[in-house]
Amino acid sequence: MSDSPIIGGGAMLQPTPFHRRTAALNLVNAWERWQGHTTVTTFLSPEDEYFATRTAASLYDVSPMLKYRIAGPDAEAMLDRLMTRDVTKLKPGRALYGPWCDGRGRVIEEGTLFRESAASFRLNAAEPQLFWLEDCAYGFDVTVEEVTDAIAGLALQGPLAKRVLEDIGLGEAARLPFFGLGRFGFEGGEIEISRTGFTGDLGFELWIAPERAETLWDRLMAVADRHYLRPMGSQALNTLRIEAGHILINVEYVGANHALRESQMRTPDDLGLGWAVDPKKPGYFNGRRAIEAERAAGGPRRRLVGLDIEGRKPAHAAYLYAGRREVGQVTSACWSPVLKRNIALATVEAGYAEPGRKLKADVYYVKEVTQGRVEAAATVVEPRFYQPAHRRG
Amino acid sequence: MTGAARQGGRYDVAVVGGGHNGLVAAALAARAGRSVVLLEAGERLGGMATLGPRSPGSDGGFDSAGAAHLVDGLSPALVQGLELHRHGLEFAVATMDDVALLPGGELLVVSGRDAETTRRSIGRFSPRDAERFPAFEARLARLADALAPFLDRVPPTLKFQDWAERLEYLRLGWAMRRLGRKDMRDLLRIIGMNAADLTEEVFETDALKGLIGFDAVLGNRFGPRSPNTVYTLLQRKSGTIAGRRGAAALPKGGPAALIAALERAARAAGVEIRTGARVAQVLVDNGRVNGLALADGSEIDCRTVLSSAHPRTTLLDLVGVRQLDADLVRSLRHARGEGGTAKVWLRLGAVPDFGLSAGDLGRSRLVFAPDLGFVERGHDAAKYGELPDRLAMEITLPGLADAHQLGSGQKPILSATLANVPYRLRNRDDGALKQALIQRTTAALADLAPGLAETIEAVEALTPKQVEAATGAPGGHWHHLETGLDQTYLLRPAPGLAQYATPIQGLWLCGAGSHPGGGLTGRPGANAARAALAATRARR
Amino acid sequence: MKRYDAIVVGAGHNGLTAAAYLARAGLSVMVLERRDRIGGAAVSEERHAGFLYSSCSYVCSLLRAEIMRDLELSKHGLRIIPYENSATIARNGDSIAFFHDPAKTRRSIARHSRRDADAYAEFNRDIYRQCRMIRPLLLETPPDPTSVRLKDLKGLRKLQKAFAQLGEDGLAQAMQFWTMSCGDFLDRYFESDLLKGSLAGNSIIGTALGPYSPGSAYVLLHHVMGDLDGHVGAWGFAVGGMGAISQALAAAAQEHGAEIRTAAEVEQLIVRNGRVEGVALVGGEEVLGTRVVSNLDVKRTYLKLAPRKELPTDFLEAVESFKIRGSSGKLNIALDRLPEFPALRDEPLLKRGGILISESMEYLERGYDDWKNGQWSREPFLDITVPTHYDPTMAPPGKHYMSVFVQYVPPTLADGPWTPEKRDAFGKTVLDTIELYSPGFRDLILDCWVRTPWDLENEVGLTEGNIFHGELTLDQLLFNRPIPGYAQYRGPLGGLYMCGSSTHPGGGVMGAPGANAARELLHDAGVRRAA
Repeated sequence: MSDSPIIGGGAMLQPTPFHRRTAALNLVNAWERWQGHTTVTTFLSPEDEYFATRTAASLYDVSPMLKYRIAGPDAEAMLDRLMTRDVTKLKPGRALYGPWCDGRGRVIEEGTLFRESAASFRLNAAEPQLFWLEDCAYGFDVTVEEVTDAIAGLALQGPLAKRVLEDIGLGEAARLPFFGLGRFGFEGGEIEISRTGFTGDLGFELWIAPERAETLWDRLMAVADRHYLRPMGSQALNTLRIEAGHILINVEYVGANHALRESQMRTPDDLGLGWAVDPKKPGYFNGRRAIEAERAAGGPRRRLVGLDIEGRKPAHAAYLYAGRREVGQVTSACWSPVLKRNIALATVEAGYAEPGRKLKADVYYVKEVTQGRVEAAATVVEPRFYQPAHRRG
Repeated sequence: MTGAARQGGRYDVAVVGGGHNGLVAAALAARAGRSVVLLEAGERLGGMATLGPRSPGSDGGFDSAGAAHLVDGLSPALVQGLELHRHGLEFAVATMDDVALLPGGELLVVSGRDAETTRRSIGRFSPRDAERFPAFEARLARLADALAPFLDRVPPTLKFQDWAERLEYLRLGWAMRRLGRKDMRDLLRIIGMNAADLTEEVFETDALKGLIGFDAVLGNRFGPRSPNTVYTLLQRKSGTIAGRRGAAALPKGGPAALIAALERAARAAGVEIRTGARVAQVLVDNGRVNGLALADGSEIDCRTVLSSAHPRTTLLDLVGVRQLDADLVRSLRHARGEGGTAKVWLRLGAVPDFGLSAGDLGRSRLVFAPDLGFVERGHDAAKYGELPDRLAMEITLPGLADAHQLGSGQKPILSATLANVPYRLRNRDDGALKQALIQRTTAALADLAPGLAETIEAVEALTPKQVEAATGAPGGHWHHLETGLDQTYLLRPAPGLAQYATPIQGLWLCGAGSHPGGGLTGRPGANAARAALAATRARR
Repeated sequence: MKRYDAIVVGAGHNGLTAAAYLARAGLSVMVLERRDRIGGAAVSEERHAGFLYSSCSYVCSLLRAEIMRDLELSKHGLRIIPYENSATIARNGDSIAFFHDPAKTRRSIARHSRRDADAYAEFNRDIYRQCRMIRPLLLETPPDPTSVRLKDLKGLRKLQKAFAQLGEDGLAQAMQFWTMSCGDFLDRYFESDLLKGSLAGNSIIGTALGPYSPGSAYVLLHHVMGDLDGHVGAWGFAVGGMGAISQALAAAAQEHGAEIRTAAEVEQLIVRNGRVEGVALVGGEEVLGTRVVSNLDVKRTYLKLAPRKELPTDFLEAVESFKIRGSSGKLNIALDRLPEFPALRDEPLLKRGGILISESMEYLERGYDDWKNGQWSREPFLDITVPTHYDPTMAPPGKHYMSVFVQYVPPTLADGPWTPEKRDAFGKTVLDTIELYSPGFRDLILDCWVRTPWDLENEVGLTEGNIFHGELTLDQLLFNRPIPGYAQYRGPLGGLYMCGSSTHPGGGVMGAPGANAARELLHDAGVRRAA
């Protein structure tokens, strides 16, 4: 018999392993959903969180990121067929970033691949991939396992990130090379640390068993004020990643296995990831024939570009014109606080993608209770707006 | 690569598999002036056509006619083009009679030669049906005629890019239009229907409906109430043998004789045939065929390979998934090809009494499928991996018509093709299945032909698992893959592979897994050879 | 004597839709209904004191938004609430649930298979891709592929364009979709039996196909191509029961001047010189009209109402061959209180959505085998809803009305026609099944009204009790529906139109056949634009 009203019940969104800690600090109660988890939009001030990352350091909970362990004698071969980059060159203790495509050369997703040992890898993704990975594993002696819930993740990013690590007894990890990876002793257990991130700044990602997540958080927050280390929400992160020119699935493109319309699918060259397609790679990889055919036929029809836009109004979803001709659309836009420039990522027809090209952006913005509209001059630039030298140092 | 490593020789074209499609492809390539080697893993040619117990006398065995006991749909162009008659192909029976066996000994005869016999025979069950039958046959023949030209053509892709493709679609559209409004509507309606509904719309005689329903599903894992089985019926009717659309013929010496003729034609054209030559790998260099590696360690140097092996075997095993896109691997793995047909052979001490003379018996394709429900119930059991209690079957006694086989004083061999025998069995191993098949077949025959049981001298059976083991075709399906609408024409064997070409340049599929599918038609082999030759000509 | 511009035979939802559109365009319209109430299979009836049952159809997913707007149905009181979720419960106490929030659905499926949970996103994409292609065609008259008239060529071009939009992969998938079995299609994605059972359940509702029958994959689509409030595939509940839809449609028709007469059974059409002139009612009264629109299925229209001698033989043969197969039954149950489903204990919210009993595809297929053998499924597929969650006024406070859709149930049984005893035995099978999933359920029953295909045929006039007025198989879809060459709402008799679910795009409380037929009639009548 139901003695209570039927209003939900059961688990709705899943808390992350850091939830109790982040909830305590989330002064504005700004939450959002990320892969079925509750994550923080902003703790108090997005500007403060942003500047902490650009000048000091920040913590961002990346636990909902989907993680897959691929292990076995054929793991390297299977991943080499999966990814457009040459995985055989990836040494144990190193990570790489790159896309993986379908047979037509359209990007399914992009993400980081960790080689944890000779025969064991971890792939990090934003969208569920198990179906595809299992199908890609057919014919290879590997096991594919989703380990999302078994690993809590925390991004420690910012120019002072190394100092923070040193301060909590992880000085060895602070010396990891760019895209290096290692396991270290921590508080009587183990922690995995990679020199990776999504902010375009110096930074690390810290991976730990969920039951020890709060210990890690507490150790970090204990030294927070000495380094201006701030917890950060997704709002600040979005500005950081646009400045860094990092593309985001379902914003810059839709994954080939989930897009309804073919027109929403993108090849690596479309997305400016041509550098990640290795033409000299000896092994075949998914989509290779299609990508090579597209290149032989003159390259992609459109490209992802950066835009430097006049004025201060972020050009959210603005259409782009060359004269009267519509040549593309903005996918991400923001005011860059560090550059003091109005920037955007956009997809434009290939003929209008060379740096220096002048376009017009049709920008709509909120003008109190009405919408304002300006036609702003936009200049095509490389989609890397902020690349501090200390990032790799 | 150095000569030492390539001791297998150098050829323009290598053909994998010595089944009839492989032989056809090899012969055509050789006749076009290419140097050709054909590699058959087993010791004898013929693939599924000649599969079955052999070596008379040894441990009670006998020489069967092969798993395929009849030939239907053999391309007339091929018979002519390869001069098969010159190479020894003769038909003992050009057009078999269809005889429906009924419990209690009654027969319904659909004669291949004489419409009047048919009318009289059906008329005994229903004068109305007897009147309707010729029109029904003519109707199916007209519709099958519209489809037939496409059996010999390479299916177009879904890209609609070049004019040749668009032209092919126009051709298809035109073939429909040319049927006339009434027939076109008829075709568009019935092609997706089930065979049971179609026959029930026209006929009232159970035996006749059972016969047609059986023909619509034999070889595939369907029941007569499965939608789209009118299409499989039309497919069967669209072949031509000995000048007659939709008929079945019996070569002198059985299908083995067809294989022998093909072999002679191939050799005459200059094909080098090697048996016991198992291909281990298609060598790929930079996305192109660069030869074949054989199981014995030798290598064949060639740039064009036509493989009549199962598409999965060719691509997933011989090429390997590492050379392929994962989505292609996915769709190949999804292609349905679990066999549903088995064989039982009996060597009899005397001509059995089915109520037909020995001569008529030899000319007849006996079908035991007394009504639609009988066949459907068999399918219902098979779809859950259970063996039906009562099996629908097609029976021939080829030796009785064939002086070549009969003259030697051999005992008659009864060859039964059993429908609805699941490849994947629940709670039964293959040995037990074999016993059950023999037991159920002999029990059924004992009822249908009094005294038959007592004359059985030897029995043999062949299960789908055994077909798989003997031919290497995963699933042991007679057509490699089911031939339903969802796996036909430009969807066969999988979208993107229907033009015989594969993603590996120089590698072509030429087996039953490709359009238009199984049966001893030679068409996949011929179409693939034509496509491959045209492509290499263009490159030269 | 008054001559109406149009007479609509049958006040089902499609007849009422057609009548409303015709009246709105300024035609004088008379709707004639055999029964003493309007609505056909979309009715709400008080059979047990204080309980309002949606006697036959029970959910609404397909009613086109265009029709809601054109006929101002909300003004006439229609309110449709989307079901938030649905769940399939298993005998072992497990369940699988589908929510609006994909992350939640993913987690529910992941309990059974993580791989399936991820595959579900791709499955949905593939299904919606096909839906996007088909949905615009629902409110179109199917072109005749054998015709060279400009209108048909244009229609074919449109069809071709819709297909071409899919791209190479989508197109190949479409071709497979229309020809494959639902079982083969689902096997491509999933390994969990319960998940496949849940999804396959959608593909068999209202059809006489099993999930292993080729062609059943398409029906999967037919049931998800509705949309409500922008949620593709959402199912909705009409406040006041399904009768509320009919009432709103009738009110719209009457507002525009249509007359509706109940207890007016049409006996036959009056035909002169190959053209209908009106109808003759049982009892001899004649109602004259320039055009007649039949809401009845194609068999009833042409084999019962129309004079045989006026029709070409091959047309009659084709009509006789049209496949209408009853396969569904329905239980309406008044409950003393809400039953417990232990499988849903962790997610009580799920009780508010549809509850499916569909253990696996084999469970469904074996149920179908029973049907083929002239027996109701011994272990039936059930789609259970409790409308009183959304509209508590349909039962006294605290009490509940439960609707149970049952499949497969044959129109006649192997051992003869339906009898009251057999109906009771069938009802018992269903109640026993529910009891397996909800121990103690039986004790809550205040009233149980069992409806077999025979009942549906005899009360509502659904031939064989088929809820879709004809099988939804390839041979009876689009330009083949109902009869090749007569798919444009007209038959061989001048002035006679069909607007029932026998016509494109088929069954479901969708209103599209009614709207399409009205548009064709208005075209012939020279009425350019609806008011």
